[in-house]
Amino acid sequence: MKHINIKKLLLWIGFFILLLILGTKVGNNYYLDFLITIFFMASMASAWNLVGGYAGLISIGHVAFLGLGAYTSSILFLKLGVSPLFGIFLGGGMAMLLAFLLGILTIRLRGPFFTLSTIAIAEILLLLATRFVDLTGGSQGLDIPYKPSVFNFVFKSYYVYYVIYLVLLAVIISVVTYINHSKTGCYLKAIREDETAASSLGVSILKYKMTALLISAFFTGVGGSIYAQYLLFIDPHSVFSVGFSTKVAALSIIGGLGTVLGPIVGAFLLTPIEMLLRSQLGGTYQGLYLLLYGVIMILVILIIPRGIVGTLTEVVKNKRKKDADRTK
Amino acid sequence: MLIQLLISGIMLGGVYALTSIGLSLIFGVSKIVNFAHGDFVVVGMYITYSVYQATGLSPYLSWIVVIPCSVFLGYLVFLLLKRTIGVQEVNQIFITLGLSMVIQNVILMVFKSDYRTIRTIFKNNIKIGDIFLTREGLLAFLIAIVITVVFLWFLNKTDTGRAMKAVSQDRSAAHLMGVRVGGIDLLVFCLGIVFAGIAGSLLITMFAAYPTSGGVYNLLAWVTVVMGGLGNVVGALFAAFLIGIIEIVSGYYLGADMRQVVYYVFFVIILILRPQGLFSGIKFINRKVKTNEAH
Repeated sequence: MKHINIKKLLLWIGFFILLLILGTKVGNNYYLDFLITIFFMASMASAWNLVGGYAGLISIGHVAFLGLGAYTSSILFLKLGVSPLFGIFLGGGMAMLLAFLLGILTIRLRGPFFTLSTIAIAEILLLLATRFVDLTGGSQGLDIPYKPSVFNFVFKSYYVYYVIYLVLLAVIISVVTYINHSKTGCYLKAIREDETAASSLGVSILKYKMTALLISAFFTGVGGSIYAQYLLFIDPHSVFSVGFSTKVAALSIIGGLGTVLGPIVGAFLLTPIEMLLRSQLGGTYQGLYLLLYGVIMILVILIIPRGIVGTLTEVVKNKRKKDADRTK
Repeated sequence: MLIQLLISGIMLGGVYALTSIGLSLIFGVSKIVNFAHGDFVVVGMYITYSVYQATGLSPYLSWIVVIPCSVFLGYLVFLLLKRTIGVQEVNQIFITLGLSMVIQNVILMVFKSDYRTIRTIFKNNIKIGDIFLTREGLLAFLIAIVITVVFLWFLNKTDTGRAMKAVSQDRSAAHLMGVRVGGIDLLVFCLGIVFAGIAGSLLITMFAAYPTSGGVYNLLAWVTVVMGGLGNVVGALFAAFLIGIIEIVSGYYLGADMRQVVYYVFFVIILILRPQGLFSGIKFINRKVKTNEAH
């Protein structure tokens, strides 16, 4: 990060402000909810991309962090009266702690075995959350009372949630962009391309993979806490379902693994399709949108394994190269 | 009581063995990472269910439909995965995860999310001394064991079986020795899916099927394969018995909802402490894979 590209930065800030203003113009809660969901999915996919795309650790149990974050802030609020304002960060912290423990034990495992261990952790947490009824309300779930106030982190207006999610997304994008351009990002890419070569050149594989895992877990945990505050209800099967992780992973893969924009493009393209299909055909064709996700994911992997953004960047690069060669 | 639990566990383990032997074979020989294996089991369950609903055919005879369907499905899926064999493990994970989403949601659309099961065909249970056995359980166990034993014989005594072992040890060397590696990959994949399908048709007589139940069987199959030692068919068999016992015993003492937690935890511990599997001392189908995978 020696020189920040001022033009790009201003463009991003302008885009952010534009979206903030756009939110006020949307009077309809239905459309706001629509946008909020897209932001939420985009942030989760971006956070996942740090681990799955940059560090090459395919975690399909990322919901473990999401659910832990959601339960931490909700339980702290309901049982101890801790304001979710802090609870959100504690949720992120708990997710980080879990990621640290998980990472120490399983980060060394080769590809599919790391994936399996994350699925197992998510399933264990799901079963435990269902079991410890006193703490988690079991499969009945937890209700967060609707008492709008800043301390309770419950708001009347959907616009406030819109802003919160937009900020979350902006922060995650900034962090991913920073990592992408930083030394850590380069090391991570090197590790992903060839682990043995990177390690023989003195790159500490564990350290960088762990860094990526911790950051990703933190944001996923925070996202989970905010999710609980938005829905005001959580139950084990909604916050610990491995299917959600697969969906988030699919967004990243389709958009482009290991690129800043990939997961965001994936979320902005597919989430609206998902919501339309769900609201239009939800009754008769329940699983149609997930079926579509699966089919698109397989096609993307087979035809453009770099995803939409990765492939487009490559095409643009090649074209520029050709133009440059021609002018020579 | 404990003897009853142990025997019930072994009976259950027999069927689990059938789900995991297919996976063990696919992963051991072709090194294909299949995260949709549980969904192939569930496909077998639903086919058996549909056949039973439509014609009243016994689940044990529905194999005449299950096996061709599994072979066909295996062939289609193999075409998707063919190019990734040996080069892109990550893409295999993604493709099979996508496939799992597709299968689960096709099932959801066709059969809705209701629990489907075949009501017990047999009326009374068997009682030997103080021990009760369900007839479905016993029959499923015996069938699973017979299939496993026949398969082990096939693997060790026939040319095709030996070719499979050769491919699992060293693909390029096997190719140089005139083994048609591509053909073996296809055969192994279809065989693995057929085992999954048969396991499904046995499981539906004992457990209800629902669209996402593939996730449970998938993890179960992988747990078994990892415990047994990768590519070790005999190891997978013993691991399956062990998991059956763990499931029944922990279900009895901790409550039915906790029966999976114990072996999931056990699984993570084994992954960390003994990635070469619990039974790596027992003779492997191949020794070389063991030493390679141990790292």
